[in-house]
Amino acid sequence: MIDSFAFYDNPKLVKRLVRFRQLPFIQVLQRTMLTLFPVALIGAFAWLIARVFLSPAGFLGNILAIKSWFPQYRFFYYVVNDVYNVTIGFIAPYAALASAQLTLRQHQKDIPIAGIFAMASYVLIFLHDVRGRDGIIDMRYYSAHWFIIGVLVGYGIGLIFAKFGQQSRVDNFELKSRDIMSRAFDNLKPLLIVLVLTFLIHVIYAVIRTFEVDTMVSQGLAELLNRNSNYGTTIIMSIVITLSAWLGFPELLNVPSSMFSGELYANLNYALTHKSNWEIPYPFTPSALYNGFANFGGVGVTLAFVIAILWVSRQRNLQRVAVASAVPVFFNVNYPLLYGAVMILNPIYLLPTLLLPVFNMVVASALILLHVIPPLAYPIPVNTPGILGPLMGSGGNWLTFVVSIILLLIDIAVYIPFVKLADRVDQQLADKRKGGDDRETK
Amino acid sequence: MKLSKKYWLIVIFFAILTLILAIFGACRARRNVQLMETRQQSRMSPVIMIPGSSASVNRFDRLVAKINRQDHRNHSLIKVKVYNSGKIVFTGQMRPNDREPFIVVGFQNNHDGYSNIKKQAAMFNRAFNRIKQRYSFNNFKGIGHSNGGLIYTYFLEHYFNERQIRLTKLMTIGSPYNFSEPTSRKTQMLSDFEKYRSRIPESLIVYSVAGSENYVEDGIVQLSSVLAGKYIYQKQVKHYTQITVTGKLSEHSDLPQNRQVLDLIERYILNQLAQDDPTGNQPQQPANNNN
Repeated sequence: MIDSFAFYDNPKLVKRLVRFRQLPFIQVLQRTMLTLFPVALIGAFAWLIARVFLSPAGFLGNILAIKSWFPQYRFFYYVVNDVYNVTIGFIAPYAALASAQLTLRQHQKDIPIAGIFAMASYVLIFLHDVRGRDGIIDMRYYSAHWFIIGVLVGYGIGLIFAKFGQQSRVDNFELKSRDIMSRAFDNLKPLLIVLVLTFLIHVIYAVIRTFEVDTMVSQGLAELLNRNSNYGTTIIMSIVITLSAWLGFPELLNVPSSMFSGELYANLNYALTHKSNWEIPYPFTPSALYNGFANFGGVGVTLAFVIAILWVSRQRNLQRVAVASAVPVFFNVNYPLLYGAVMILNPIYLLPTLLLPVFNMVVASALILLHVIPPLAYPIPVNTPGILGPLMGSGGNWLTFVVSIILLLIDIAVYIPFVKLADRVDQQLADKRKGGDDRETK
Repeated sequence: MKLSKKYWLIVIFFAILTLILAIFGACRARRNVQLMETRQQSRMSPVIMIPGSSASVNRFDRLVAKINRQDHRNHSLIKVKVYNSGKIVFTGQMRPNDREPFIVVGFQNNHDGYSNIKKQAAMFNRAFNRIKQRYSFNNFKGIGHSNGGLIYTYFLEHYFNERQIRLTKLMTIGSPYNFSEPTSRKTQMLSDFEKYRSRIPESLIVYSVAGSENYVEDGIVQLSSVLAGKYIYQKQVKHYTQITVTGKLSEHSDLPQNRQVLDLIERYILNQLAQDDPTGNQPQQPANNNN
């Protein structure tokens, strides 16, 4: 029994993971995430202050009745929310910039214009005036939801510059302006290649948008999600959402709050008319079950992950990341942790992030079926701490709170061996670096 | 391998925080549920009215008096005035057990024009939020005279987003959906209304009443402008019915006192009670309940 849980000591597995970590793209991706960790952290705190505290719909704003004693909350909400908009809300272009520069450094080059060009290219791809909707820019392409696309664009542009660009030295501030000019012309070839490619994608995307294929897709999806659910869709939806977050493309994260809203209303209506939430018509409707039990600390039950890191990890940096992200993760905002603990496209964490939400939902629905706890029928404030979600959603039933605590403890126990595995992999990588034959510079 | 002391402290801190928030959260959740249950159980279904431009909260006094004289149900009349400063003043008495009070919302800024209608819709939204806090109801009916109908339309498209409260029926009386322009020239307001029409609740039943002194207008508003309401409501709401009233008292400002219009309100907007029930206090079954 103990042996099967000690897979983190399996040298073969560790070796494979080390090799995966040394793939060029994965190296760039992981470093990009670490570079952007502070940006995500600032954004997460701005989100907390604005949407959890300064909004009457947010958890703290609701509990503390912010509306009644701080009537100017709306102004401050917008002012603080702007900070979120330029950090997490604009992180994909930053990812393009960082990953282009890191790719070049991987090839022992340093061309400052490449990073700027990567960021500009990324912005250009998705910026269209064709379908001029009152001059509103569709910001979703720039947010953390499209993070991995930004990294990919930056990586591609970095490769083009690495192949065709001219090496320039790092300490070139002493150069005369004439020399800077000539450097610029040296790099004309990669610049043009990137420009043409970017512009082509920009045009293709403009065509897609003009024919409103993108809205048709999202409308079709919305229509699909407005039918009645069944238990299978609930499980599949959870896996798809977690997987998309793991891939660095959490575009689907917002789906569960809006999906099957008809069932949610029917549940609420029934519970209110009958003054009881035990016999509602759709006890296993996905969004209630998923938001309630599968989302402690945000997608992938990351609250358990944070506690597991604090408990058993021996990497000081990882523990620091966990401490810094603890408050946002408590309120289900886990971007800082995703980046700081390099969770995106990290095979170590794939299994627990994917399966723990499903496990939680299955256990919870079994308890609901056995009438141990009531189903979650009532609406809860925005960004209610995941661990309190079931308590609030059941209208203050303490047993659901106990169940969520027990589920969290199990989740922590499951995460612990994976954190140990990550430690082993990191240790080996560090040893290799000391060994000397590594190409990595830093 | 052991959890260091510092990290223990962090975990303990969060555990305590969770407990405190859990206690607060549970209380809050219980109270919210209670509030929502009271609302759900409530049998009150008020008629919320908005007068047209240049009119005050007293605009519908005669209409309510006439209806009370006709149906003997003694509807209460509550007047809500919204000042430009944001102050909201309630006047009038709510009769106990009144299931169908009339609530009139008037504005200090009662001027004409699209920009004012937007402002008035925002003011109406504030008043509506106060009304729903003060009186617990889960559905209501709307009547808008003239620009009041336009304010209602803007409110439905831009503000009204309730989980528990339903607008069941809306009657607009002489509302110039295209101001005084001919149908061939759509105003900015009408095209905006059409743009966001999908936000209007689909379960709503809408009656648009037009007055006509001759074949074209009611003295102030073009018939065609009232008829333009079809571009907004038709095929969006459950039923959209257009009615034209002619004859005595069919001038624009007389419409709220017009005998035919009063009959329409009684028949289509007010809840139907058993004819032999003068008090209106018998338990009344909402149509959609238990079947």
